[in-house]
Amino acid sequence: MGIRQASPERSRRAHHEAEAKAKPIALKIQRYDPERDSQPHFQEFMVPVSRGTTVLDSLLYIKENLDSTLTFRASCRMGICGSCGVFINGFPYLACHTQIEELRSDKLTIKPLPNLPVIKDMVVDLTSFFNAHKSIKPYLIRHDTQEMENPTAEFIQRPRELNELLQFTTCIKCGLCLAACPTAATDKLFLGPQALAQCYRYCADNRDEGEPERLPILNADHGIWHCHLAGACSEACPKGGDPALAIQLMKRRLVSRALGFKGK
Amino acid sequence: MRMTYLWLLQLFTGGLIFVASGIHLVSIHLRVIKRFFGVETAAPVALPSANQWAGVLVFLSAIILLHALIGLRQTMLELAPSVRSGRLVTWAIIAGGIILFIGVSGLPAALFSG
Amino acid sequence: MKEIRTRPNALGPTGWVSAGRYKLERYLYFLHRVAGLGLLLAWVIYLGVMIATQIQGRDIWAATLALVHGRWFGIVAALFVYHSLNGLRLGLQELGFTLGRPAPPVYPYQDSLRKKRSLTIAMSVVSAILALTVLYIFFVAGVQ
Repeated sequence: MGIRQASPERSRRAHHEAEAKAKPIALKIQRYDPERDSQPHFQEFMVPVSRGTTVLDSLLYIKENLDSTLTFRASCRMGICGSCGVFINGFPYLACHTQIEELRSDKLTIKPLPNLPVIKDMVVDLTSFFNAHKSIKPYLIRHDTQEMENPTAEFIQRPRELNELLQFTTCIKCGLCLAACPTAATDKLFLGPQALAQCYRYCADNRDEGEPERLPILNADHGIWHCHLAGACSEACPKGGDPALAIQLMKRRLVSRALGFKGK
Repeated sequence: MRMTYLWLLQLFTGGLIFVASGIHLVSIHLRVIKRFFGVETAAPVALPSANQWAGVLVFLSAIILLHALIGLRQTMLELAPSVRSGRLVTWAIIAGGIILFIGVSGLPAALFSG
Repeated sequence: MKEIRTRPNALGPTGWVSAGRYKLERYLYFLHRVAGLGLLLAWVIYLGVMIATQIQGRDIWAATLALVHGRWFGIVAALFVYHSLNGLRLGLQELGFTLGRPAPPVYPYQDSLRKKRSLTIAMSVVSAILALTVLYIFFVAGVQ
């Protein structure tokens, strides 16, 4: 038995019917082309929106039908790759993960993520963001080289030990937390909530022995103590990663170590 | 662990300031506070001796300076664009703190020498 | 490969106060900073006035009393109330207390600061009441 496929005519009719039901919404998008513009400027587009339309759908609609020069990052379109972070009506969101209906507004102002340099339109430079992540050594560090290279058994991790860090493994490195952070607004050298939270993720891992190696980076002038618990990073995190909690727990580990209570 | 120790010092001095200044503020304005709640006091509040006041002022000023200047340094470092300017900020704050403390220590002596 | 030129996009100090639609805790952080800097400035001015008084040979004690009974001291006291109570909250929360334990995130996500908000709300309410009381004492009731 073959699979019945919709005829091209039927698909076109369905598409036109959906467009007819869709109501138009204004998208005011910040544009910046370094080869043409000295300053960013806004450009407005009218986009048909129906139930379930995401911001990414609208951006793709603009790119395909209205202005093919619109530049933005997107990949998985399902909130897992972290590519499509944008600033919508004063808050950082993942464009693919945000339905226009949930924003409850007839006019959306879309800008690139703040606190990160802009390359073009919605595309920001994440080099410093990833460098900060690299600097905290985001991998398990162990000193038993023999076991690492010729493993005899798996490393044991009990469920309660995993629960101490599982929440923070959901980080997709989207950069929304850094965009929300008030410290990152002025402090260019600040590690950022993502790097600090991931530092806790590895230090809290019972299989890791690398906390002493990460201490100099955390205790530096623009390290963990420049976080003042504004909590905006946890508000913005689209995966419920709660970087603010991880950072405060990391501070507790540092204080315990400083007072001589514990260390591994 | 220098920054961790600085933060702990700021926390500790903050706690001390909270307790000491709270007592200081309330005791100084005790008559006004009592009057606000409808309790009249006939006799004025007895003041401590000059030496006790001098000691309290120097102690309070020292912990206020420590707490405030660590906080000021944190704020200024966030605005400093480079590591070098951050070092300049730190040294300027240390120098300012020493000058302020000398000024503060001299005041009680002048205040109670007459 | 062509070099990528980027345009700075940091919000700067305005990002401390007006960066978008965020919740209470972000503004409590900014207010804490303003209160702390305000207290430091008031203290430096107080010292400066006392040193000037001493140099002029006037009675420092009388000058001190006049200064701390002025209305501006009500503002200083209100800032002190807020800064100290918020500082207490921050001291507890930055050491990881009152924030709960990590838990696998379940949609709709609620972060620890919002789940355990009672301390923040209690601190805000108490400091607002105390600060307003202090301001009332100095500005309306009058200090004598």
